Amino acid sequence: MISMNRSQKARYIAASILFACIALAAFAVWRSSASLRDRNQLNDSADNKAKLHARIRDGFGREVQFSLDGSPGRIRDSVNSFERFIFKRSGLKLSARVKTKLADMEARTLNGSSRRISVSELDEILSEVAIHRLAALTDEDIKHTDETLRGFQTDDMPDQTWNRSALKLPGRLLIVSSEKFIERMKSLREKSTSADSEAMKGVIRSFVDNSLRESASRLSEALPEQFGGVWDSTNNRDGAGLTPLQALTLTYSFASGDLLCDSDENLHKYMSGLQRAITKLRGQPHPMPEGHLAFGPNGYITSAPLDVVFDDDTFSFLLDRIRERSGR
Amino acid sequence: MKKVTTLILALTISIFAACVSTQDCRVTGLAPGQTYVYMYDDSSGELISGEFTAQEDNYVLTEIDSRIQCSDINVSKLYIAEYSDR
Repeated sequence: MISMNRSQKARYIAASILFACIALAAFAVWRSSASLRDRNQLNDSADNKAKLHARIRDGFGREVQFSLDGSPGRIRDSVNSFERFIFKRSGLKLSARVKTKLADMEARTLNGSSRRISVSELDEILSEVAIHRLAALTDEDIKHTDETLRGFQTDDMPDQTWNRSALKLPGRLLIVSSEKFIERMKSLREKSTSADSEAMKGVIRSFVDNSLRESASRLSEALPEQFGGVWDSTNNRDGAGLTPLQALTLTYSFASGDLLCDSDENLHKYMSGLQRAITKLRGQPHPMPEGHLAFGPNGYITSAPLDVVFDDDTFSFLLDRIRERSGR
Repeated sequence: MKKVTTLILALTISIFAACVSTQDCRVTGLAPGQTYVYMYDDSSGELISGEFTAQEDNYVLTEIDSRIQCSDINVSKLYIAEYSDR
């Protein structure tokens, strides 16, 4: 009888906890779906899209030329124009070894010796790359990642709290303290070398997936000469696939938050406009953009730790995974 | 029995606090490539503010204190001459 009572109590406790968790989960889902509407705008999305596409054509479309055939000279020019484009915007540099490997892979894909990879395959590859890089992060890398993801900052900024409460990740803002984020990153680093790494890949894939698809869709519409057919926008599914250089462009765009918009001159105009707008909004002088890059570590528009994400070893690892997948 | 009830209550409250201490708030209707400013006071009265550039037409603000109403977060587009509609 006593054991029966204990059992009932145990069930009662378990049921209470279960009920509480179900109720809380339902509440959390309801709260998560609560949508905010930007109060100051109800822009027509087609108009926004057209403007964005024009800015992409003015940026990447004008400054990067992709080779359509497999001739080594033209491919080398493509790789160099891509490198120049990302370097002047983000400071990210490709080593000679990486450029040679990339040009060789691009040639093999364009002459038909290797096949193109799909956007879904790139998603899988990037989750492998993330785990690989995570496992090798030093404590210093993690600290730098935290500082960098909090946005543009200089010592002479009047208000040091601006931007500092949140980390800017692709498509989301994470409100978290440095202490908590660093602790989580260290825990993820440990897990990345354990049996949990497979589960982590799944989580990373779900995070990357949507952004890559959006990016592939946007570029195939905005730049049909360079990205036409990589994504089937009508049916919202993989299209003809990506060459290694296209895959690297999507990867850079995802990691840096650079939508590949605007020529040099117009990018500088945007940054100057941003400086004036923030100064006006806050009534304090925001630092001028001169001497700062738009993207990459401490980027004026979007700051991202590209120096940590894409060291030479990680670039090579990424290209090797692409080569494995694209082998016929 | 009173102790057990108290224990269950305490346990439920602590689970409640642990499970819903944060929430996600989704901002929709954004123009990709445009910069937005967000501002709100957190539950301790501290101003949380900054800017972000939209990459898609929506953006998620993650791990917001659940005591904050999503609708109390002010998100507005920064007007940048030649790039934004007022």
